[in-house]
Amino acid sequence: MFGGGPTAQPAHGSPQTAVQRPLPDIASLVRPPPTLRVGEVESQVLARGGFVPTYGSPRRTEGQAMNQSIPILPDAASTSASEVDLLSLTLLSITVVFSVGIACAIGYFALRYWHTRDVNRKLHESVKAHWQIELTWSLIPLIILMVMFSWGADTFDHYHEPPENPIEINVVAKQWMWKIGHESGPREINALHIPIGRPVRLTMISEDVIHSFYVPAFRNKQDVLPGRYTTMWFEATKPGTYHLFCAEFCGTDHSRMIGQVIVQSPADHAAWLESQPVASAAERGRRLMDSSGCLQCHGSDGNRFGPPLNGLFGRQVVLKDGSRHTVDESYIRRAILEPQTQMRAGFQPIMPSFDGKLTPEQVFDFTMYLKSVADANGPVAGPGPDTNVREENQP
Amino acid sequence: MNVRYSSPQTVPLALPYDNADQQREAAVFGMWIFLATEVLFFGSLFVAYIVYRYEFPAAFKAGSSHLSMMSGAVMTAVLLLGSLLVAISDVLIRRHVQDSDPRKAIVRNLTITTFLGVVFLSLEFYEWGQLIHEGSFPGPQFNLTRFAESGAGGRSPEMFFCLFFFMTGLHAFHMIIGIALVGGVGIALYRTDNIARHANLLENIGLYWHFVDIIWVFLFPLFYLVEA
Amino acid sequence: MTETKNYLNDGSTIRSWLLTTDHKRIAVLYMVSITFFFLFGGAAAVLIRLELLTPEGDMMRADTYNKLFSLHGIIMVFFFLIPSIPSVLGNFLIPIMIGARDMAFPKLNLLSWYIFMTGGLFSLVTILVGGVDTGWTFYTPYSSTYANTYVLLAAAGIFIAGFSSILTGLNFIVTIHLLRAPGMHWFRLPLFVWTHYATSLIFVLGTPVLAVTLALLGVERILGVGIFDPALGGDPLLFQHLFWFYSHPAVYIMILPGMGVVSELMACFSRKPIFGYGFVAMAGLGIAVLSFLVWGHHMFVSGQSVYAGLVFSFLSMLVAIPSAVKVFNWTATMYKGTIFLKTPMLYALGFIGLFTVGGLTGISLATLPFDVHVHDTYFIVAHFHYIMVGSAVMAYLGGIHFWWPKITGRIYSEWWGRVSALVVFFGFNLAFFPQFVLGYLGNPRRYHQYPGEFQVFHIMSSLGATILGLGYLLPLCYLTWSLKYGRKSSDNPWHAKGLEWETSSPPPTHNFVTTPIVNEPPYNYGQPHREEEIGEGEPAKHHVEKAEVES
Repeated sequence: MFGGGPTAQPAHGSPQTAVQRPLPDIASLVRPPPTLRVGEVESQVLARGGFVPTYGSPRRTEGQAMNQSIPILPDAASTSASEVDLLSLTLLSITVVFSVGIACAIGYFALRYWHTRDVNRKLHESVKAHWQIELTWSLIPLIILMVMFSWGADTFDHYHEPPENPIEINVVAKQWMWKIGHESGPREINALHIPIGRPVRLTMISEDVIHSFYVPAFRNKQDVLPGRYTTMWFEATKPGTYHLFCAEFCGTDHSRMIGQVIVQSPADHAAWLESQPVASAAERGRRLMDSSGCLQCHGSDGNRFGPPLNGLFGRQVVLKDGSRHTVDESYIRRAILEPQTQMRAGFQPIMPSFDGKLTPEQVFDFTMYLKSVADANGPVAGPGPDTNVREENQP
Repeated sequence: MNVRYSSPQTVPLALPYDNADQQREAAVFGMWIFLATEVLFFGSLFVAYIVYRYEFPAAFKAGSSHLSMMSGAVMTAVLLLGSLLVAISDVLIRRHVQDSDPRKAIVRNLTITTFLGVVFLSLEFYEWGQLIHEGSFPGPQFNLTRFAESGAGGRSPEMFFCLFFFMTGLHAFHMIIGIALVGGVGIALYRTDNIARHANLLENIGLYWHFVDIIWVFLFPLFYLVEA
Repeated sequence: MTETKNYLNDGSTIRSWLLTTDHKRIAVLYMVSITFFFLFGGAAAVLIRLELLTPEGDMMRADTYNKLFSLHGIIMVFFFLIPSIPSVLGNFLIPIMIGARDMAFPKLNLLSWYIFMTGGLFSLVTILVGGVDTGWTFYTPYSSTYANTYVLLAAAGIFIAGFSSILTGLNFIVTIHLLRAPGMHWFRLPLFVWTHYATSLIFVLGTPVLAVTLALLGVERILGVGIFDPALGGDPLLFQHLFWFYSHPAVYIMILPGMGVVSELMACFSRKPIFGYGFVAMAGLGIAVLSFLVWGHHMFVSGQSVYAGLVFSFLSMLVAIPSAVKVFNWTATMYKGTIFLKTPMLYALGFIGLFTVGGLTGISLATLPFDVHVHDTYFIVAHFHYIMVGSAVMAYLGGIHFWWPKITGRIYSEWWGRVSALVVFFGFNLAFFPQFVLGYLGNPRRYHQYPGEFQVFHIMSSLGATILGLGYLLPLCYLTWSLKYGRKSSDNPWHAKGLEWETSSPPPTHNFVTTPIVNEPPYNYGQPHREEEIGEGEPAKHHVEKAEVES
């Protein structure tokens, strides 16, 4: 399922090949348990200090004193965390007020109207006009709920607004590890180094089942699906090391699929990046174009069957069926892996599918390359044979 | 034979009921609720159909073109005729016309309906056989190469046939039960002198049969008429 | 001295029990079977909480743990909670409460029990041959393509048991519509009947969708096709939508009958009609309708669109209103009432308190960013246990204690009853309140092992679970003991209103000697005043207005 490439690629076969088609007999109903196989790149990363989950021992991490007392609130380390905490505190208050109120009312009535007590139990006529009372105690909760809904909806919208100029991170989840790729190049396993003060946008996909990327300190999570990208973003505010959990049950080692998000000051982060001697994702993507034969159709003058790739990312394009699409990460992914579902108007439908030939990381690298040339018009940027890109046939 | 038919009050009264009308009302009401559950049953499949048709329009067009519209049309006509006969029988069984003998007509109608149901299933099984033979049954043996030119991506034609076999198969399962019920009540009516005893039963079986028919009336255009 | 003929001694062969069409005997059959399943589900819970005492996964393998929580969920939801109140108390009481001789379709009722037992057998076999580890939610593509446990067997058990639900709901609806005694107008029905009617609507309309979903899952697993697996063109979110379209209304199946029980208990032990009877009845129907519109709140972070999230959040807020209306009305029922804190009343009051907490945490979850943070954490686990255990199970126990004299003709020890109720209440809160904190801290659910800083809360929770388990074992003991050694009950030991109390305890096989005629409103307790004790099995000092007898 994963081919070779110019850069060292994970050598593992898929532990559970969903494409494998067992014959419909009893044996096929019982499959061998998936095993966690760690490839070459991953062991190198682990050797360089990637996170290994440990249980029972408290986390001791850079710059963060160990918390001895019983925690009630998790660390608040993102721009959204305090807003969510305030919202939660309000919800908690509403819960406490109503619960305690009801409990007190019950307690008071039980005592006052105890069956052996001789008290006035005559009901006023007005109490029997139920509908006004019913209306009141329907409308008041309704108003409170609508307020909470609006507040929540507003914050939720904010969670989904695309951030300005984020750091792009690729997350590939698989049973049972997080593979993280920075656009600037470094790859990590079960760890994510980010600086404070800049939004970070994760483009995530799973290689097998549904997982969920959850950082309690950021008050944020997003399910990671196979077959399509999901995204989330956050901006860290406090240096430290925070839990990363998988929050969607994914099999045997679901509870071992944990990691760390290491938030650093800008200076520390720059230093960390320096210490990772790898090419950027865009560079890797550009080299991929050579090795995968993309330029045969998409690059050279006079011999081109495919749309030019410079200036493509972020534009609107028209497909054969007349629909318009914006070229984003999902579009690129579909274009590479299922080209026949997304044929451009004005071009022949001859692009082959690279499904099974490229890893999700390679797709991401390639996407980062396209982002880097999103405003380019002239020669193809970066190392590689120089070609002229014509502007015709651009709808 | 000059047989007098009395009113449906000759249906034996079960424990919870005070009178025959109440019992009949309960039986019919119960059947309607059961049919409501069947609507939700098939309804969720229709939802899956809608989702995947929206997702893979080319695949559905291509898959549908492999189905025989003529065969589907004949099956539809067969079922509708059968339903008509059941409905007529249902009216006849409650008539109290002196000196007339609806029993023969009812039994004849129900026999024809049973036969038509068997015809329907035969046509359906035949078509399934054809489809399986040409590699349209979902699974590892599904023949995808036929769809290479259709513009349908990945394994989406298989999705069409998945839904086709599942939904028509579920319908066929209900048909088999329906045929057994219609045939069964036909036999019971043939053997009895007092057909009014089975009036409630025929009414309910009629409702069930009509429902199965209506499901097919939806399945036919959704699977057979996509390209048209 | 010969014993009066009642449904219990009317035939004592095994055959007369296993082939009965008497709704009361069928209810007893259900009662015994679901208790049995409860013990299985409870055993799984015990093992889970033992493992979670320590952060490391040191007691069992991860696979074993995964199977345990899956089986706990499947058995408790499908084989205990969903049938509990409807199939036991509903089956027993609904015909009597409306003045009928039996259900509309008695044989179908018996068939429901056999179908239920068949489904249960499949689940037990699943446990024996190795279990299933997908969670009771069966999310794809894990369950359709990757899990190598007995998914099909477990799904088959649930599929089959679903038909039991559908037939029970069908029976209830027809019975309530058509078999009411003369004078039993809709707005004279006890609220227990109203809520079971609402529940039956959900049974009938929601369960088929689950059946189809599991069937599609089965097809995918057997044939290897890609209905829900994206690698083969399918959509895993479609599974979630179809699954939750049933499973959200299912949670209302689990709580609405409990609300009906609580209404009965509040009226009887406050000696007052339920405040706002009409509103409470309509609120139940409103909950049933709205419950079908909110399923997407289980999927806020699943990858569905932002708009879907907003719509479902809004609708989920709305469904809280009828529930709040009920809680306020129950509390107002106590105002100027005549309060007795008997065992059933303790359970009812516990229900109201815990349901308020559970429901309010529910609207916290309906608030989108809050859910984003706590989804799939222990907060969710705590929320649904407050509703399903703190509320629904307590309502079930309250109902069992209230109608025990009616069902068995015996009185249990009131002292043991109250002690157990308090033990259950205390144990429950200790078990599940810390889980709210755990969830907000970020401890995900379905975790076999966890980071060390969470341990103190897990220890509290396991301790509470132990106490809760003890609280459940106590009624098992003293109720069983009462069957042989308990005092014999009078017809109406609680001096309660309602047609079920107008007939003997236990009732005769055909429920009434003559068909009752109803000519008074429900809960017609008259003007509340100071009262003497009830529940001792003595004849009533309070004047009960007898229904007129007419052949």
